[in-house]
Amino acid sequence: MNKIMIAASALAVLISTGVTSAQAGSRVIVEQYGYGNGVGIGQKGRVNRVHTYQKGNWNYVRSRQGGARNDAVVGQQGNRNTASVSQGGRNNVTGIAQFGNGNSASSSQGGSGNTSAVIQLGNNKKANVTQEGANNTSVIIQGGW
Amino acid sequence: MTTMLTKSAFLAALGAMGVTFAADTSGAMAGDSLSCEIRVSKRNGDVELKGIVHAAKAASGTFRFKISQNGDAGSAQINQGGDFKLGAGESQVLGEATLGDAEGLRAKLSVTAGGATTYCTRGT
Repeated sequence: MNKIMIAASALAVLISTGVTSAQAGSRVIVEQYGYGNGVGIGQKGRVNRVHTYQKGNWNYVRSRQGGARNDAVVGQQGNRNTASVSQGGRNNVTGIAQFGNGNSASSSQGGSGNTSAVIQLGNNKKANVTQEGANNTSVIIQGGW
Repeated sequence: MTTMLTKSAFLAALGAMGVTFAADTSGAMAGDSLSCEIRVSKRNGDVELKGIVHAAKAASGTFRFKISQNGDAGSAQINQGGDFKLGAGESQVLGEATLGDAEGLRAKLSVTAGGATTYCTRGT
């Protein structure tokens, strides 16, 4: 139960970070509600940022970012959540939080200051993280109910 | 050249420690000039892993740090890799990972330098 609270708080922080960022540069924010939500995001070079939040069932996110100071935040709430985030070099940060049953998360990061965090709550959870470079840090927290 | 390391300590610990993370195997290579370590600690109920390389002599090379977990909570795969460069007597944390628990956890750190590879493993 404690971990659920921590994960819920983490999701709130991740999403609020994406919303309130004042840093100049590329940005995409997508929020979807309902059934069968899907989004694909492609970004190239410089100060890329992605934020998505999906609430409903059959949620799908795929995000690809080129080099520079990439951030990505994905929040999915519902059943059958799938998220894939790919980031090129530089100061990458990825955050994926999934709540529901049938969660699948994938994060791929190129060189430099990579950090990846995946939080999954529910049944049938899979997380896959690939990191290249010198500052690899990965956090995966999974829990069920 | 690939140095295969004894896993006796790890295997001996398996039966004794249950779901608790077991002892590791540590590797040394190239005239013992380079060794690796997987350091495991607990913080706030989570399990933290650090892949560390130690150099007796100056060395540079590449590494792969692979962590996998299959348990009741789910499955997780972490693959980290990159380069390192160390002076004599230096150590470096090559990769870090945090997981919710140690159930079904396996980790392997491979370090390659000067054409030689050594590795360390930990697992339940």
